[in-house]
Amino acid sequence: MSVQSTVKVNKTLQQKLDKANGSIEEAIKDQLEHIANYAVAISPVDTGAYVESFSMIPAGQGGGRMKSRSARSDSVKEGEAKRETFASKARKNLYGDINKFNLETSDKITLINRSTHARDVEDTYGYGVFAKVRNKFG
Amino acid sequence: MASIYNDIRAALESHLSNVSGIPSVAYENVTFEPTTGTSFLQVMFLPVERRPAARGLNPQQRYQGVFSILAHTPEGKGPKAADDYANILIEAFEATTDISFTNSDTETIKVSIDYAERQQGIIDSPWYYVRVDIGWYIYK
Repeated sequence: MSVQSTVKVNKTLQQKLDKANGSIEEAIKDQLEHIANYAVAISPVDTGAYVESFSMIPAGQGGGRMKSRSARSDSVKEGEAKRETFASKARKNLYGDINKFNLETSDKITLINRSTHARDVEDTYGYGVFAKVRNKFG
Repeated sequence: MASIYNDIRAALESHLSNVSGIPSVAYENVTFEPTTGTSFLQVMFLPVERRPAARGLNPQQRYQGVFSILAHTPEGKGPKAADDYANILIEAFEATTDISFTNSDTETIKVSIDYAERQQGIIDSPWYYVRVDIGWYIYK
C-alpha cells in the first residue's frame, strides 16, 4: 500500500509565494542590469562596435551580437558621434536580453562580447573589461 | 591616500620579479621589444574598486582589483610552455597569499590575494598566450 500525503495550499499562502517569487526575480534582474551598466561604463568607446556587441545569454547557448569596427563610419575621436549614444544603445540591448530571460529555466547567464576586436580590447589594449567584471561580480 | 595604488602595484610587481622560472617581464608603459621565438610575460594592473569598509568619518577603505599577467610563448610550439608559466604564476599568487611591501616612507603594506585563475590559450601570431588573472585586495 502506498503512502501519500496531500496538503491543500492555502490561497493566501500561494499569493504570498507568488509575490515573493516576483520580488526575487526583480532583484536578480536588477543585479544583471547592474552588471550590464558596469560592463558598458568601463568599456572603451570609439566606433561603438565593441560596446554594441555585448549580449547576455543563457549559459551554453551560442550566438550574440557581433559588430565590426571596420564597418563603422562614426567615431568618437572624429567628433561625429557621441560616446553616450553608443553606450545608451549597448545598455538598451542588454536590458532587452535581461527582460527576455526566463529565470525559471535559466540558472546561469553569460555576458559575452563577439565584436571582431573583443580579444584585442581585453588583452592587447589591456582594458581587461571581463577581468574587471569577474572581479566585481564573479 | 591615493598613492596606495603605487604601493599595491609595486608590491605585486616586486613579488612577481622574485618568482623563479619565469621569462622576462614587459611592464606597463615601459619600452619592451619582444624577440620572436622568445617567451615573455606582460603585466597589467587593473584597479576595480575603492569603497569605505566601515561607516563614519575617515573610514578605512577596501581596495580591490586584478593583476593580469599574459604568458606569451612562441606560436606553433604547443601549449606546454604557456601552461607551465601559468602554473608557476598561480602557485606564486595562490589565494590567501599575503604580499608585504615597504615603500620609500618605510611604511609597510600587505596586499592579500583573493584568487588566481587562468584563461584559455589564445593565438596572437607570432605568439600563443595564456592569461592569468590575480584578484587582490587591501584594507587601508
